[in-house]
Amino acid sequence: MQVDPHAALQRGKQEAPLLSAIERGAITVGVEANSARGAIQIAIESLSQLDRRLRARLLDAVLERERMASTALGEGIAVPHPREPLGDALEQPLISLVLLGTPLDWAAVDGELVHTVALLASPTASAHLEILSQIGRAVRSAEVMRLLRSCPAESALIDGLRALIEEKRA
Amino acid sequence: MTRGRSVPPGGVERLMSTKAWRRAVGYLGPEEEQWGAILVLALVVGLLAGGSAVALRSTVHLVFQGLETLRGGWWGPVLPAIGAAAGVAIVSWIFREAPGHGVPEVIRAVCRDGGRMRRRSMFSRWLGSLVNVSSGGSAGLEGPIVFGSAAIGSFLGSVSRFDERRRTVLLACGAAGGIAAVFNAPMTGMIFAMEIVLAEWSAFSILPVVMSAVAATELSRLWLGDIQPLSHAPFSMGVADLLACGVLGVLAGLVSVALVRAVGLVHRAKPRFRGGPLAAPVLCGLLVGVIGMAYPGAIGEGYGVARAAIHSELGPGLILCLGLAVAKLVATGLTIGSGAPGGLFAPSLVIGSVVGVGFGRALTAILPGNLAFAVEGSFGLVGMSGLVAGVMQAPLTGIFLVMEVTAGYDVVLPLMIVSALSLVVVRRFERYSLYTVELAETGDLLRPGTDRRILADVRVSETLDADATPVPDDMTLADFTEVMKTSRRNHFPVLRAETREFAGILELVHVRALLLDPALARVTLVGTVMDPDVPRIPLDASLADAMDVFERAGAWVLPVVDGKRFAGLLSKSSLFDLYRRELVAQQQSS
Repeated sequence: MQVDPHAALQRGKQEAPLLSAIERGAITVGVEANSARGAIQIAIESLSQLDRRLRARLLDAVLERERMASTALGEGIAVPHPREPLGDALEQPLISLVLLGTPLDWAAVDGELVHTVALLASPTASAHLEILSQIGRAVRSAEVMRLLRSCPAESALIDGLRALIEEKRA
Repeated sequence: MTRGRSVPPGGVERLMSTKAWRRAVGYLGPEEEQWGAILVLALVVGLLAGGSAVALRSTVHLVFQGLETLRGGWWGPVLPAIGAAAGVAIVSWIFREAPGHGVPEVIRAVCRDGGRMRRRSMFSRWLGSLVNVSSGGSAGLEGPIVFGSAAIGSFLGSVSRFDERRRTVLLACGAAGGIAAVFNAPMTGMIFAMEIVLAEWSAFSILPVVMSAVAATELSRLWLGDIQPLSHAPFSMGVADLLACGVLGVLAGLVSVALVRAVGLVHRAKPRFRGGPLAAPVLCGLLVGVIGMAYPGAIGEGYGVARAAIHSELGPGLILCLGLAVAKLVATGLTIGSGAPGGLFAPSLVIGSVVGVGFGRALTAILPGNLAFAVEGSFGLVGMSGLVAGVMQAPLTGIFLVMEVTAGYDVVLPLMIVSALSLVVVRRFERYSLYTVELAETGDLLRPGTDRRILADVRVSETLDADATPVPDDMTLADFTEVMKTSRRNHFPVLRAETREFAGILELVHVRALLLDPALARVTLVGTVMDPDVPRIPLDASLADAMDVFERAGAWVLPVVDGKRFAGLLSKSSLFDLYRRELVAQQQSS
């Protein structure tokens, strides 16, 4: 699903940074990938709003980071990201959310296969920290995890996430 | 921080290491304070400075009078040009020093070099100004005398192995002795040294400076006799005159600004002169010579003009005063601005006296005849004070100089009014005097006891926090929690794992949420969440530079780097602690 960036930007002023980042990025549901690398490539290719050179740079940086240590959080979630923030190349943080049709081995500490990939790209360390903290809170929510495991349609996914995250914030 | 330079033991040093010397000077104060040695050396500095000053003045007068017969013909414009070029060549080529009158270099030695000057400085401007002024250059001898005399004090302080503080005091003793001897004015010498050279008033420095000024004056009186260079008949100034002095003070201030700007204008234009380093002094000297043919009083030191002015014996007419003042101002701007060695005292006194006399004449011409004003010479006298106070931004020096050189103690109130108002007007246009403007531009105007001086005297390398714990950028936050347990710090320098170069700073407060979540801590690298753009302080920076970086960054802890290598952390609290200790140390040493 491609989100209108202007509408997303307007909503992002009021919404949680995590939701805004997802809306600025991309959501891809039911994707089949044969490896973590393949899933990362799909996540980055979905970010068509980024120019080709930036996507290539992002892919290299994320794969380099993944080679250093797995980014699987456990509970079937992975958050691949570059080793260092992208700086001026990116104005705001964005997330490419990929719900895999078939879960993949991602060398997670808890041994669980990964079904949801939230590829995170941030311009600064502080933006990265903020989004990552929200991801941590979301993953601890049983409702969010249930929603992700149900592999809903793209629009249902973003609406569901918004409802759950806004509910938590309230 | 001052530059270190070892001094080979010489005769003076060997003398001072003898038991007899230590016993002799020990009677004058506690040995650890070196009071006795300083006072004895101040006396010696005063005698040497006084001798040097009087010798220069006498020689210049002799040569100037010897060349008098040549000035009427075509030699008129050529002589000052030759003198200026030769003066610059002597200072720049033979002694390899920067051209100019030298007082800024003396102040620089106080502010930045711990009172250390080159030994050759004892002779460079002495010879340079001898050639320049005696050939007709429109400048005084006082600047070069201050420079050479200060170098004598610095030399004796260095061979005595005094610390910076004591060497600086001896340097000031030299300056005081030079001025005291050349003007037969001990109080002016003392005040010049305290107000302009040291810019501080403490018992530690006043006593030696007084000792030097007295010794130099006495030597001058023995040599030349106890005469006031610009003595005058007694004046009396009434209330109307005091009110008029208010206007004269403003006028003196404006003329001071014009003189300062004329010197600055030529100085800034100097690099555009083609034909090598002597082109500017030669061309400017030629112009001074031409001016001298029209206004002979505008060249050389010009004390004859000042003397005539305060004796109300200047030629008739307001136009003459105006022409002479402008001619002297332009000639001085050309001479000193071109870099020819010479000082500002004499031109300031001459222009001030002419402006004062012109002002007196204008008063009687404009105002009703029933308003009686003092004689024009009295305005000439207070005008001198206004120009010195304005040009040097030193009102006390202006007041005491005129009072002493004219024995004009009866006009102290007008002197104070004119000097104060002149300074107020000058400060409206010029923040710094000709002596300090270049130092301020280069950040070298660091007066003793000021915050900038204390901060500039200490390097950050002296105050690095030793217990910083560097972490590699490829460490996960999960592993970092183990490092954190053994450290009391909130800031951790991050180094590149591959090269060990400094990469950024990890601040605990920013990553606390992630540290409390084991899953997030496992997938997050230190290098991802560090601040890579944190401002860095170079290892050789002064505390003043470091303070500026802290202010701009709004930070409390910043990394110090040596190139790309991490050298340590610097916190604002340890910086303030060091500042406090340095302040205490400087206060104790004074």
